[in-house]
Amino acid sequence: MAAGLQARSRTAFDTPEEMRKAYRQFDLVVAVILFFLFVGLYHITAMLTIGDWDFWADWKDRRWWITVTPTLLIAMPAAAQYIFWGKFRLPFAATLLTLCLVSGEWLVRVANFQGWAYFPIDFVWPATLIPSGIALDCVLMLTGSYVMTAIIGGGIWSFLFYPTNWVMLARYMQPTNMHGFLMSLADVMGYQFVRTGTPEYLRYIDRGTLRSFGEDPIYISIFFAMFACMVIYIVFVGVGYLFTKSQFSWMKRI
Amino acid sequence: MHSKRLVWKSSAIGASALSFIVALSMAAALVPGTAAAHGERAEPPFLRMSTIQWYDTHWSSTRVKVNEEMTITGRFHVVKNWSFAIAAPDLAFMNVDVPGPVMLRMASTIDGVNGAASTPLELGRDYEYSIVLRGRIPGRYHIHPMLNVRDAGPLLGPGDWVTVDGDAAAFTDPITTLTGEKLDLAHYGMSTVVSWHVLWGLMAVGWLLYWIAKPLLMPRYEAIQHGESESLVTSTDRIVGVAFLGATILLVVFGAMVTRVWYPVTIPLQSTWLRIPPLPKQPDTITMTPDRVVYYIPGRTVEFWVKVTNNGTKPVRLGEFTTAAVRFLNSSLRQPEPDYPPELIAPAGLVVEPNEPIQPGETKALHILASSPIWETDRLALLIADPTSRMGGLFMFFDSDNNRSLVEFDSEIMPTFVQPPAPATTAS
Repeated sequence: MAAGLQARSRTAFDTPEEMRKAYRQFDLVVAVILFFLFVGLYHITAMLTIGDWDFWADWKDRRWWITVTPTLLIAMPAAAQYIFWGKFRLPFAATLLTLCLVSGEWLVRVANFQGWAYFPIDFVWPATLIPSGIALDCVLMLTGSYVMTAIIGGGIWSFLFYPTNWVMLARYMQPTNMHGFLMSLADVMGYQFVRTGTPEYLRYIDRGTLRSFGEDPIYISIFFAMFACMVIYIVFVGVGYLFTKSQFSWMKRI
Repeated sequence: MHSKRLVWKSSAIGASALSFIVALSMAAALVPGTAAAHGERAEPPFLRMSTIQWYDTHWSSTRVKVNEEMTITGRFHVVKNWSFAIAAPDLAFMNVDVPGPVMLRMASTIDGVNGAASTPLELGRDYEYSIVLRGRIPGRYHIHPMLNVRDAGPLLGPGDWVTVDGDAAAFTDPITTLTGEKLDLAHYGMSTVVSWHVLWGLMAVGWLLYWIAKPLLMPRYEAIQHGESESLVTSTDRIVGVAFLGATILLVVFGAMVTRVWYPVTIPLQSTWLRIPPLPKQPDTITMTPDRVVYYIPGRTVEFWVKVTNNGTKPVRLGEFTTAAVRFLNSSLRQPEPDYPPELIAPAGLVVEPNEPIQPGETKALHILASSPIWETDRLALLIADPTSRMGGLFMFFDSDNNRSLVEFDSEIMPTFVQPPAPATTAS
C-alpha cells in the first residue's frame, strides 16, 4: 500500500534532462501531426473557396483572384495565430500554414493535375502566400497586438499577394494572335489544354463594373482585399479564442 | 472450451474478411477495366434527343502521331422544341470531349468564326463546326464534339476512337508572341515558377527553424501559465523578425520591379462572348405531321405513323433518321460512310412504307420503322423511364439530285411491351 502511494506521488521524469527530452519528443509528434493536418485542412479550404482561380493560369485575373485569394485564406492563419501566439508565444502560425498550403498544392498539382489528368504543370502551378504569411507572423511578433496585426499585418498580407505572384505570372500575360483573337499566353493554354468541365463561359475573370477603371482594377482590388483581410482577421482571431476556450483543458491536465 | 470457440470464431471471421478482400482485389484486377468513353450513354435520352442533333460528323483521321493534327467537322441542329427540363442555350461553348488534354485543341470554329469564345445559339437553327486537334499523349481515346450549354451542361456528339502514336516527350507547342518572341508552351515558365517557390519555401523553413530550434510547446505553455510570457520573445527574436519582414518585402518589391523590366508588354486575361449567326435557313419544303409514335421495347423498334407533305419542286424520298447521334439509314437510298463509327449506325435500320418518292405538292402517309439494337445498347430505351415521354430527331429527305432537306421531328411516344408486328403487314 505504502509502495503504491509512493509510486503515484513520483513525477514521470527523474531528471530535467529527461523532461526536456520528453517535451522535445512531444514537440516532434505534434509538429508532424500538425503539418499533415494543416496541409489537409488549409488545402481543402483553398480548393473549396478559391478553386479554379488558383488551379489554372488563365483564371489568375486582376480582380477576382487577387481579391478572393488573400481575403478567404487569411481566416485560418488568423485563428491559428491566436492559438500559437496566445498559448505559446510562437509567431509562426501563418508561415507554417502557408507553407503547408503550398506543399499540399504542389502535391496535388503534380500527382493529380499532371499525373492523372495530363495537364502540364506550367499551366496549373499554384500561387504562393508564403511572403504574406511571414509578414503576418513578423508583424504579430513585433507589435504583440491582434488589432495592430489586423490593421498592419492584414493589409500587408493582401498587399504582397499580387506582386509576389506577378513575378511568376507576368510571362503568361504576353500577348499573341490566336486565329484573329488577341489572347494572352495563359488564355491560349486554357484554350488548347482542353477542360471538358470548365467551358470558357465559366471562367469568371475581370467581370463587373470595375472594368471601367481601365488599368486601375488591380489597385482597387488590392486595397479592397486589404480592408477585407483586416475584418476577416479580427473575426477569425475570435474563432481562435473560442477554440482555445473549449479545447485547451487537456493540455492543462498534461 | 469456451475461449477456444471464441478464438476459432475470430479466426474464421478474420479469414473470411481476408478472403473477401483478396477476392475483391482479384476481381478488380481481372475484370477488364477499360473506360469505354465519356458516359454519353449515361446521359438521359431527352438530353440527347431534345437538345442538339449532330449530323455530318467526320473525323479526318483516327490515327495521328504526336504533334500531328486531325480535324473533326460537322453540323448540329439546335432543336426547336428544346426540352423544358433544362436551360435554353443562351450561351454555349464549342468544346471537345477528350480524356484530359491528351490532344490539344489548336483551333475551333462555329460557322467559320473562331470558337474560342462562347456564343448564344438560336433554337431551330443549324451551325457548322470544326475542331482541330493535335496529338500529345500516346494512347487510344474516344473523341466527341461537345457543346457546353450554360446551366444545362455538356451535350455530347457522336464519338469515335482516335489513336495517338509516338513519344509524348517529343510533343511541342510552338507559339509566337506579338513582340516576336518564339516560345514552346509545352514547356514554358516552369524554371521561374519553381525558383520562386523554392526561394519562398526556404524563407518559410528558415523562419520556422529559427523558432523550432527553441523549446516549443510545453515549456512555453508553462511559462505563459506562470505569467512569464515576456521572457519568451527576446530582443534577438525581434531583430530577426525585422530582418525577415524587411527581406520579404524587399524581395517582393525587387521581384516585381525586375519582372516589369523583363516583361514590359503584358495584357489582361481575355474573355468575351460572341453572337455567331447560324447557317442560312433552309426553305421549309417538307412538312411532317406525326400521327402516332410507338416504341416496341422487345423488338427494339420505334414505329412512326406520319403525314409528309412535299412543298418543293422535286420528288423526295426519306433516306435517314438521326437522333442522339445514332443514325438509321434507308438502305435503298443511303449507305453508311466507311469512316463513321459502326456502333452508331443501323445501316438498314430505317424501313419506309411506301418506300416511294413523294411528289411535289403531294401529302403522303408514311409508316416508318427505325429498328436496331442500338436503342438498347445506346440506352435510348431508357426513354420509357423519362418523366417526359417525347422523342425528337431529324428526318432527312433526298431528291433525285441528292439535295437534302432536314425536318425536325418531335412527338409523344408510347411504349409497347409486346412483340412488334411484322414490318410488311402494317398498312400505311
